[in-house]
Order: sequence, then C-alpha cells, then structure tokens
Amino acid sequence: MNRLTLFLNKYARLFQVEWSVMLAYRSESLIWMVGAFVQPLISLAVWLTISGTGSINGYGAREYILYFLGVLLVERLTRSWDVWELDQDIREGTFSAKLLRPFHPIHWSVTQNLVYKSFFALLMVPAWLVLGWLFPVLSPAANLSSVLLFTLAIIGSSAVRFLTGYMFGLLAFWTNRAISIFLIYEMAHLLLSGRIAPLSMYPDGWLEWSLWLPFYATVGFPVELLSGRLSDNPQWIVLGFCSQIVWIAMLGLALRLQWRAGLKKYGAVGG
Amino acid sequence: MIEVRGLQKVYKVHEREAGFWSSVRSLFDRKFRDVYAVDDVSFSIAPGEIVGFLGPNGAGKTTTMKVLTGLLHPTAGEVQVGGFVPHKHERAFKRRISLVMGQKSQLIWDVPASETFLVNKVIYEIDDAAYRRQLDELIELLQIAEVMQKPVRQLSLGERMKCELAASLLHKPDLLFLDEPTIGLDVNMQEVVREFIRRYNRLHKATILLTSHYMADVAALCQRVMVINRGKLLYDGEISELIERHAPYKRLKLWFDGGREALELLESTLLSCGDSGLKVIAQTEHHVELEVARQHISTVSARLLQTLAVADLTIEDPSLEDVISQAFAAGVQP
Amino acid sequence: MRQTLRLLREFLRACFVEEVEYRLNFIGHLLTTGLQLALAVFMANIFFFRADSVGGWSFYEVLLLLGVFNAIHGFIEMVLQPNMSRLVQHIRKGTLDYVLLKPVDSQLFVSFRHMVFWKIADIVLGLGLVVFALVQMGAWPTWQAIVSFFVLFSAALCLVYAIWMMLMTLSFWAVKVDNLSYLFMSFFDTARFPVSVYKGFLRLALMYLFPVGLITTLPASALTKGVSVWQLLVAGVLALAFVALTRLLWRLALRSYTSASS
Repeated sequence: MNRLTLFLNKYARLFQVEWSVMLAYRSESLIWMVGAFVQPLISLAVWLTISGTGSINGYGAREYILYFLGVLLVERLTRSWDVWELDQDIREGTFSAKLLRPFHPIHWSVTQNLVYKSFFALLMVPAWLVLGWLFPVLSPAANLSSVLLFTLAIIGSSAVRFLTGYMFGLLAFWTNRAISIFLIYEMAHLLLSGRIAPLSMYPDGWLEWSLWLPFYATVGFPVELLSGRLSDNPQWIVLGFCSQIVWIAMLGLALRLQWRAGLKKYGAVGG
Repeated sequence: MIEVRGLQKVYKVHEREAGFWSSVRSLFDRKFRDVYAVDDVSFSIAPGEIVGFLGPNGAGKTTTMKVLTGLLHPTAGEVQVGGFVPHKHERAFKRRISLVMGQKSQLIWDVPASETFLVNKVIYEIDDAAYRRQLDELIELLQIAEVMQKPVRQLSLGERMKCELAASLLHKPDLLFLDEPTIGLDVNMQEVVREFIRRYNRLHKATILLTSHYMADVAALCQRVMVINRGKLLYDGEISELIERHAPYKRLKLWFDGGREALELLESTLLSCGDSGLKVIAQTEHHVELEVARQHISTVSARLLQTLAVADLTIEDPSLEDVISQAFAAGVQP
Repeated sequence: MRQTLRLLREFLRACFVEEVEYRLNFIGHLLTTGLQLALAVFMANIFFFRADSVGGWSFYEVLLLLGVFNAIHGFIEMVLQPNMSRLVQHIRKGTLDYVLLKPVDSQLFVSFRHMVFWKIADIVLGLGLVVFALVQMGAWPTWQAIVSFFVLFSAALCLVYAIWMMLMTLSFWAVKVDNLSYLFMSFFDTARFPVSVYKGFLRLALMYLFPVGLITTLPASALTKGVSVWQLLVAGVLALAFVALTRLLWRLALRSYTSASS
C-alpha cells in the first residue's frame, strides 16, 4: 500500500470510531444544535423589531429571515469546539496517549470536526429543503453554481475556524485559561463576522476591516453567497475566497510554530 | 537498548502556606522552589532485559518513564532509547515503544475497546494478517473476547487494564514501559498479567521497564531492579544481591515440644549464640521466630536441633517489602 | 438564619482562599469580564446605529438592562453553575451521601458550597454599568425606584436560583441535566434585550414560561420606565413561591434518593 492509502485508511477508521462516539452522545449533539439556534434567532427578533414593516439598506423582513437562517446553518457547519476538547485532553493528560502514537493528534481533531459537521449537515440541509418547499419565503434564489460556491466557502470557513480553534486550544500548554481566552475571540467574531447583523448594517468601512480579519469570510461571506446577495458582485466573491486562502496559509504556518513550542512546554512541565 | 546518563528533571513548584492572609499575600508575592524529580540518574538496560523500578510514591519513577518515552524533556543529561532521542517525537521511535499507565487510559471511553484496537491497527500500519495473529494471541492470553465488545466506560478496572495492555501491544513494541500495570487487579489476574508479560518478553525479545506496588510482580518478573527515592538512584543490580545486602539475615521459625524445661533450654541455647546477630521476633510456649545473620544460620539451627526436641523448623528469606522498607530506612548506597 | 449566614460567609471565604492560588485567574478574569462588557456595549451600538430605539427602549436604557443582565449572568456563573455541576456528579457517583451526613441543611450546602470567587467582578461591573447608564441618562431615579429595583433584582436572583435548582434536582430522576444547563444558558441570552423585542407567543413564553422578562426586563424597568406596585407584588410573590417550590422538590428528591439507594 502506498502512503496515501495508508493515510486515508487512518482517516476512514477514525471517522467510523468518532461517529460511534458521537452517536453515543446524540442527545447531547442535538441539544447543542438547538441551543446554538437561539443566538441568531435573538438577533433576528431584534432586527425585525427595528425594521418593522419597512426595510433598511435593502433588508426587509424576508431578507432578514433568510439571512439569519443562513447564519444558523453556516454557524453549525463551520464552528469548531476543539478548544474544549484540547483543554480537557491536555489538562487531564489524555493528550499523552495520542502524542505517543505515530499519528499527529491534529488528525483526531480534524475527524471529530468532520463527524460533527456531517451530522449537522445531514439534519439541517434536508430540514431547510422541506421548509423552503413549504414556505417559498425561505427558499434562497440558488442555482447550481451558487450552491457549489457556497459549499466551497463552507469548507474554507471551516478550515479557518478549525485552525484558529486549534491554536487557541493549544494555549492549554501554557495556561489553564485557554477557554476564556477563546471566548473573548469568539465575542469579537460574533460582532464582526456577520452573526448578529449583515455587515451592510454596520457603519461604512466595517466590512473592509472584517474582510482583512478572519471574520467576514467565515460567516457573512458564505451566508451572502447563499442568499444570492453577491451574485452581481463577482469581485466580492473573489475577495472572500482570497481572504479564506490567505488566512488558511498564515494560520497553518503559525500553527506549526506554535506546535513545536507547545511540545517543548509540555515536555518541560509534564503531561 | 536504553542508555541514560546524568538524567535530571527539575520542576518549579509554587510554595504556599496555609491561612487566609498568607493566601492574600501570595497574590502579590510568591515563592518558587525547585523540585528535583529526578537527579543525576544513570543506567543502561540491555535488549531483552526486564527491569523492575522500585520506590515510594513521588520517588521519580513515572517522571523517568515519561522522559524515556519522550513525553518529558530532560532538564539535563542524555537519554537514548533504542537508538533514538525520545523527545524528538520521531515516528519510527513511536512505532517501537509502548507506555502503559495503570492510572491513565488510551482507550476511547464511549465505545468498545475493539474500536481502539482497530484505530491502533491503522495508526501503527499493521497489516491484516499480523493484526489478526497478534490480536488472537492477546485475546487468548488475556481472556478478553467478550470484554472487548463492551463500551469501555462499563468495564471494571481489571477488565480495562487488560484491554489497555492489548491495545498497547498490538504493534509488538520491543520497548515496553509498564507503570503499575497490575494495579487494581485481583491476585488471579495479577498472575495472568505477569505470566503474559514474561511470555511477551520471551517471544518478542522485548526490553521491559516495570514499576509496581506489588513486590510479587517485581520478584516474579525481574532479575534486576533499580531502587529510586527522592529522584536519586539508590540501587541498581540483582534482586538477590539487594536482599543480601539490605537484609543480611534470614527468618528462622521453630516449633518444639513445650514445657518449662524446653523454654529454659531454648534460652540458654540462644544465650550461647549471643554473638550471631540474633534477634527474637516472636515467641510463644511452643514456637519461636528468630532473625539470624546469614553466615550464622547453619550453626544456630544446628545447635537448636541438638538441644531441643524440635517439631518443625523453617528458614525463609525476608519479604521484598521488608527489604525495601529497610533499605529506605537505612538510606541505601548504590 | 444566623447559622445560614455564617455558613455562607465560610463558603465564600473557603472559595476565596482556594482561588487565590491562581492569581493570574483574577487578572485574567477581570480582563475577560471587562472585555465582554465592552463588546456587549459595542453590540448594542451596532443595533442602535440603524435605529433610535429597540422595542421602545433607548440606547442607555438598553445599556442599563445589559448591566442587569451581566450582574445576573455573573451570579449564575459564580454560584449556580459550579455547585449544580457538582450536584450532578454527587448524584451520579453516589457521593451525595457524604453531604447528607453533614449536620447542615443539605439544600443550602449543595447550592452554595463551591463558588467561583472571581466572578464577583461580573456582578460588580454589571451594576457599575447600570450606574453609568443612569448617569448618562441624567435622570436620577427616585428612592422609590431604587427600592423597587433592589426588590426586583433580588426577586430575579431568587427566580434564577429556583429555576436552576429545579432543573438540577431533576437529575435525581436520571436525566442528563448537564445539557439542560447548556440549554438554559443559551436561552438566557434572550434576556439581553427587553422582552418587547419579541413578538406574539414568544413574548408570552419569555414572560411567564421561561421568565427572563421578569429576570432582567422588570428590574431594568424599575429604573427606566417605572413599575407598578402590582408588578412588584407579583414578582415578589412569584419569587418566594418558586423558592418554596425548590424546597418541596428537594425534599421529594431526597426521599426518592434515600429510598432508592438503601
């Protein structure tokens, strides 16, 4: 067998195992999913109150509903929980067991992400299709190419958020406050990624800022691809993907460096 | 196979005092203390050797094991294991070792252990035939055919430990680090695991370093032991020599036909052996237990047999536990 | 009563001494709280960039409400969360027996034994934001308003405590309640805004079913819109009733626990 097959074998096996672990916790997973619906729905309620029967910057009730449903979906499909996992693994020493095996621990986290995200996708995508069929208001003006672009953007966004999440998780090598530090970052992400409002609701210039940071490209961008807002704005599509690629490259590099330093630290204080 | 020169591992520990105000003070001003978990330890272990690692809790055994497997970086000193520097985390190295910790688990908690086996199969790139062979052997030796199909969280400590061993040995490591592998097992199971380790060592020519609270494990498996306390290596050599050096006596138990006459005879006999480093441990009307220096054991027993109507007489080595505790009390010299 | 207060003081002291060990936690926590508060204010700014009022509340009125929210959120994290997760563990591992053997009120013990001391910063900063908003509005409240605020705030604390306690007591009957605490915190986020933001059935549900409206909107109203004696009375009675209910449920749970494990 060549190296690639061996590598894919590992992923396939890990995926199966992590899938059964997830099934053992399926009620928890469902509760997590439902709990995460609340925040976008609150934002939706607030915007519906503000806009009333009129519209703001091209957003009326219908657009807001569609936008925040998109946020719901994108949030679930791209968010990473690795900080909690890593923090626990490192604190309790179970990380050692993974470190001693000849397979980089990051692959375990990647498969976990794949498992949870496929689970959510399996539930949410059909649910939306049915809802969109019942209430035409909810069906985005999507064609094949925009769905394809949306899928790509989801993958890119997941990668960016996974890398950031993993880096914050590795902070557990140095501090026992990795989770709180991540929560601060998440707060900034909440504000600037488009999760509480479409970025066109913001004062002028915010969108540009958010584009430079790993924010807009991870939530606002995929959502707007889905709702068809960007279809007559091809340069924004290009910019969004560029932002994703640049961030993936930079974070990947930073993660390598951090990993090396982290191992040294772990080796100094004990695992 | 394992070469350790001048190994040292130092931790910084925050010193804290009890009390409300001293804890307030420690907010602003805190003292650190260096703790030498392992201090200037050197040893080497040949291929195929089983070495017992003895010492009280916190003596530095686990720290040494973690350094040898690469989880910890040594503060100073050189460590080579199987030709590798462990903390470089090379894959080829990881394929050759296994660390089994009685207190910590590598098994995936919510699914049967067989799932972890399958994960390890792909991670260690074991081919199907070899996997099948090794797994069958492990299943038979450890009797885990049914156990491995239950979710790990439902297993008893003993069952989990067996699965832990199996998961760690699927890739046939030739360097095995066992940290309390028999902890929590019943006597029967301890014997099974012991026999298993011995067989594994013979079959795969594996080098094994073993710590255990149960001296029986060490006595049964190891010719050679290392004794460590407060980070210092105190003894490294044959078990028998350790016993000879730190327990230079044997236990002599004697049963005899009683009566005042016999007791008096016993007393005078013992008095006449007064210079043989002799100590009475326990005595009843028909029974006496003595500690006698090794070199005098034959003279003393001969004299006792001559003078008394002896019903039974046994001579035993002291238990390893006693030797070790005596060694620590005396401050062993390597 | 005096015994209760002495115990509470002792618990607080114990958790303080425990946590001084991690002094960076204090600084870290202060930073986190401060930042979170700043971001919450910033978030309100974003909504108000496109509107002068949200659900009939002006910017500073919403800030005041956020202050109340932060304080109550802090109370949950300081007192309720750490104790309740321990209660679940106690029940699962059977160590509750040790608690029951102690010569103190068991409900008091499981509710308040472990506190995360530094979270007190959330409560202080939250109330600080309330004062800041009041100063910005320039209309200093009457002493009646201040008294009714404190009455309603205490009622809110009682309500939150009661809801948590009841959720956690459910774990005696083998429900995975750790998840309920996550759900609670998710839904509690609705309390960041006045209930008038929500429409129709949702508003009713948030007022009476899962009464976040009573928990943040009402105390905030005391200092802004004003509240009627009637509302004060209802909130007070409801809070007391809820706490009494937890007492009842706790007794019931203990009875089923002791009869099951013997």
